[in-house]
Amino acid sequence: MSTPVDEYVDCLPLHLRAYAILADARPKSPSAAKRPKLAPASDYTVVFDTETTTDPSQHLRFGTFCVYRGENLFRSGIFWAPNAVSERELETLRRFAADNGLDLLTRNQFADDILFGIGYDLRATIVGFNLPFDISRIAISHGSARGKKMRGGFTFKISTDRRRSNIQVKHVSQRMAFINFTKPFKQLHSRSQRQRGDKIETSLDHFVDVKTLASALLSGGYSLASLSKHLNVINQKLEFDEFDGPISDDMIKYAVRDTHATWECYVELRDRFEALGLTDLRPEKAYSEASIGKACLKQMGIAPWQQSQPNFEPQKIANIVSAYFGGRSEVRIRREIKQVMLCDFLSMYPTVCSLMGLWRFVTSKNKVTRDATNEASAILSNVTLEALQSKEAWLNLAMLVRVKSEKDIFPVRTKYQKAQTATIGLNKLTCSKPLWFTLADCIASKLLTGKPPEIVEAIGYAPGTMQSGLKPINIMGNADYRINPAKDDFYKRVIELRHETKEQLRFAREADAPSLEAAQLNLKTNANSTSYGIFIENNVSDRMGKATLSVYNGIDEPFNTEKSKIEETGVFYDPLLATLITGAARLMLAITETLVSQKQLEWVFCDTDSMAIAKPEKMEQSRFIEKVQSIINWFDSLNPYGFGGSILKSESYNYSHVNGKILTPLFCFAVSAKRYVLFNMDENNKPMIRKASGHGLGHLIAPYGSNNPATGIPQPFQSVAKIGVPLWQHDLWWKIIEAALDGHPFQVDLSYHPNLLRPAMSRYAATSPALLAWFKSYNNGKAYRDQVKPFGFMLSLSAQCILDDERFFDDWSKRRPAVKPLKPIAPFTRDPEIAALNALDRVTGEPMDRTLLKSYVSVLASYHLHPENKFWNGAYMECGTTKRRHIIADSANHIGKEANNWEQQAVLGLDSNESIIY
Amino acid sequence: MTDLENEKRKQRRLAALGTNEPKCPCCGETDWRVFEQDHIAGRARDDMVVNICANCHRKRTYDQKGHPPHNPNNDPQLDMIGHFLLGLADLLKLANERLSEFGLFLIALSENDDHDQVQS
Repeated sequence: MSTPVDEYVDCLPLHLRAYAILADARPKSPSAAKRPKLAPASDYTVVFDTETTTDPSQHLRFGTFCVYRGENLFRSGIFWAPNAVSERELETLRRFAADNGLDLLTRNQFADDILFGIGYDLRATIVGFNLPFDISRIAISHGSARGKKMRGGFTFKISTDRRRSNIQVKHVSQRMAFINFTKPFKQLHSRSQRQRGDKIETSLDHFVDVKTLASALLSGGYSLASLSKHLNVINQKLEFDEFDGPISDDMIKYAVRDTHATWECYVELRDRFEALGLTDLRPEKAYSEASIGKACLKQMGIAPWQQSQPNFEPQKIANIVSAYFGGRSEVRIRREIKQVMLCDFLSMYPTVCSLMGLWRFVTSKNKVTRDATNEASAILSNVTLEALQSKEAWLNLAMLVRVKSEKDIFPVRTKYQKAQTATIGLNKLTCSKPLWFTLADCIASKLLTGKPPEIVEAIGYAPGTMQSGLKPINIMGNADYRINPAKDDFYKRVIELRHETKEQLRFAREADAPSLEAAQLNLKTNANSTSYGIFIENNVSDRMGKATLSVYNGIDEPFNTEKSKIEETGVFYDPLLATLITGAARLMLAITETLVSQKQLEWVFCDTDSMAIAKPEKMEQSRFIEKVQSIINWFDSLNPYGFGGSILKSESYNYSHVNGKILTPLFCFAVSAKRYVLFNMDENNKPMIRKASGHGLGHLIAPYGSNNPATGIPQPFQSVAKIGVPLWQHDLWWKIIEAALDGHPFQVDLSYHPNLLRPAMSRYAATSPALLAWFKSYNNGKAYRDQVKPFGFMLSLSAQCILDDERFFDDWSKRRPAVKPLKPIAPFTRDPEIAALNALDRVTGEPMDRTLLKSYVSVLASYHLHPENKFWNGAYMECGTTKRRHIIADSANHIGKEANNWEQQAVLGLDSNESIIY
Repeated sequence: MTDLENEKRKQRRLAALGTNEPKCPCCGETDWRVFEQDHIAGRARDDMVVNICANCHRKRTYDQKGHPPHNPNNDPQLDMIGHFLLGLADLLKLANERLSEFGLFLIALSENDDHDQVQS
């Protein structure tokens, strides 16, 4: 019998993660371990904030500061920039300062007396909200930072006194930056100390950006306004809009309040941080959830795997890394309105960690490997859906299998449809070379295809002997939250404690609610920060020159290459755990998909830990609910926790927004992975959006706000914060749904607001010397005061395709020169028309014509058509059910970290230099 | 000298000591002004230091003079470990003396007629 021709075959090279190390890597110097412990900051705190002009230079006008000793206010005042304040404004500042008992200093006095006189000399903690911006405003000049850690950042000169230090700032992400004083231009040690060879190490980095601390502790992005509201501090940020006008009492009051709000938020966050009881981590070093996770593991005396088993062969690490794929995010039914029930897994990653017993790996001295080829063959031959309902089955999943894939369904990372970036899709894969996958992925393939993949070999992993010196900890210093790492499964215990706390919260008195809420959030931070990301942490650094790397990979022989971008693994790097965790999470989704199929249901999309299960057209509502409930119940037996219930949950969006206990029809319209909207229909048969995705829109500045709403679109029935997107994105989704309901899903009317005809703008900050260099031609000849400066905001605009640039050539023997796309940018302004007037091409520095800029309408025109390239029937003008592609891969590109510098790329477009291909 | 100048000196000293709350491990002294750094194995042998008060440091240095002198023919690693252990023993001896004094003090206190008042 002949095999039917497969219609959707693509021959593409795979993109597999590789493990690259410096060819001449030497073990770390033992002296690094002996470095003395540096003193923490003293009990002084300097808090400051700046107010700037609203022109593109965003030059300092004045600022406010407070100095605290302990909790007591020691000194407070206002500082002003002599070259930006008029005589009249100065009078206003003088009067305000005198009336309110504040010191009035010039910028120079503030720098010398407060920032250095107290901040540096008294080893104070220097606190601000978005500190890089404020530091750059008070600077008198800047340059590129030097040194391994700070390369790619800025050095700011703050004081006119040459002996004083500079401040270095290196932007890492929107939520974090490294900030420190440089060493001062004077002898730090006395002659006798130098003669004796004594070196006094001092810490120069007591800078706390409240924005960073908040995102590390509260897992989200905050403005000062939203943070002060969230933390319910006494002095909330005031509202004030008239920054264009002269300095007024209201403006100064607003600025003073900002400093107070920053201080109060800092105190609240510092107390919450201290409650975590992490003695080895200081607030200024809590850059993210991962910092907290790592400190938590250290607190328990856990040694990182690469430290405790340094001789694990690089080739074995490469095999593991090649099997690593992130979470599964796909759309199955595209651009059709479907009634759904959204279900998500309870704390997916901690749950699979617990089911697979991964905590024992974290606490073990080493990993023990074994040949598990026969074991894996037996498991794959015998595994059934029912067998996976047993918790014991999940304990056997710590295995990597090398398979020869022949139309098996595996995560496939490649550049589908000649896309610029590689994405991961669960597709049929045929590859002549054997590839490594987790056993969980192999089981998922068997569930989806009905046949086990052909095994070449398998390696089983088991935890070795337990590390000595493990210490019990009281999470948040609370004896009720005690965890013994040697006996307890940390992940299981933390989720149980969180569940208990949430139960207490349901019946708590009003006075107890905030502390219980903070506790459950802290427990969530603990679980999330220790269960995945830290195990696959790779930090990419740029070198001055190229370095020779040895690239180990899972498919070919190791080879050497030269690169200037180097990947450095994080402290708790343990790729086996990360690979097993995401593999098991994909298996959970594959089980759900299989159950959905068995119950003759459909699904619209899945995203890492959730799936929108769809009701077939002719099925009755009650039958649909019953079937979804039976799928939820299927997972009851996999609950590893002390409390009962399924690990698959019905999301709150499935219930009425009025009465949270009544199921109500929920509809979904999904465009592509992570782009979807969920809504109910109101009594007039109009959509009421419950949840929308801002994926692919977040970089655009809102074209309008609630003070100037669109006509003809009902206001959101609940706050936009609950929907998850700002008003203008809600409106866009509403119009997309309306078009689909009216039977013309391809044509979405975008004429509902006049502001959509304005040039589309994205805001970004000049966070590195390379980004700032784009404004070289703009800055040329301008005084420092008027230049676009580091961390100042800039605008990125979109350019139309230039058809008339495609010239005719009479000499066809020559290759046609490539058309270089225009890359418009503009100095920051809130007015799109002014931005259009000042737009220039960032490559050439030439001014750009207004007609070449895309409007919001042009940029959004194809948003609702965005393709799901990884599947067949996912192109722009296609809709309905997507089908898996069949990828035939005979070669592989070896890649490094996929999401490098993605924030910048989201705004400025994809940059091929940021991706690492070995 | 102004308060601010004094404060700067204090903070410089604490930075040098590597702590904001120094405490002498031998006698419990906490006044930052009297602290010094003592090289446990001797300055010439190892960098590891401990913050101790000047009184205890003086006693320690006196005891240290009784340790075997430097011999260039010794194995440096073993020599360093040996002197480190001697230094540690000196510190523990000082702490031991203090503990004994404190124990005897408490016993003397317990014999005192006024001990109830002291306890209260």
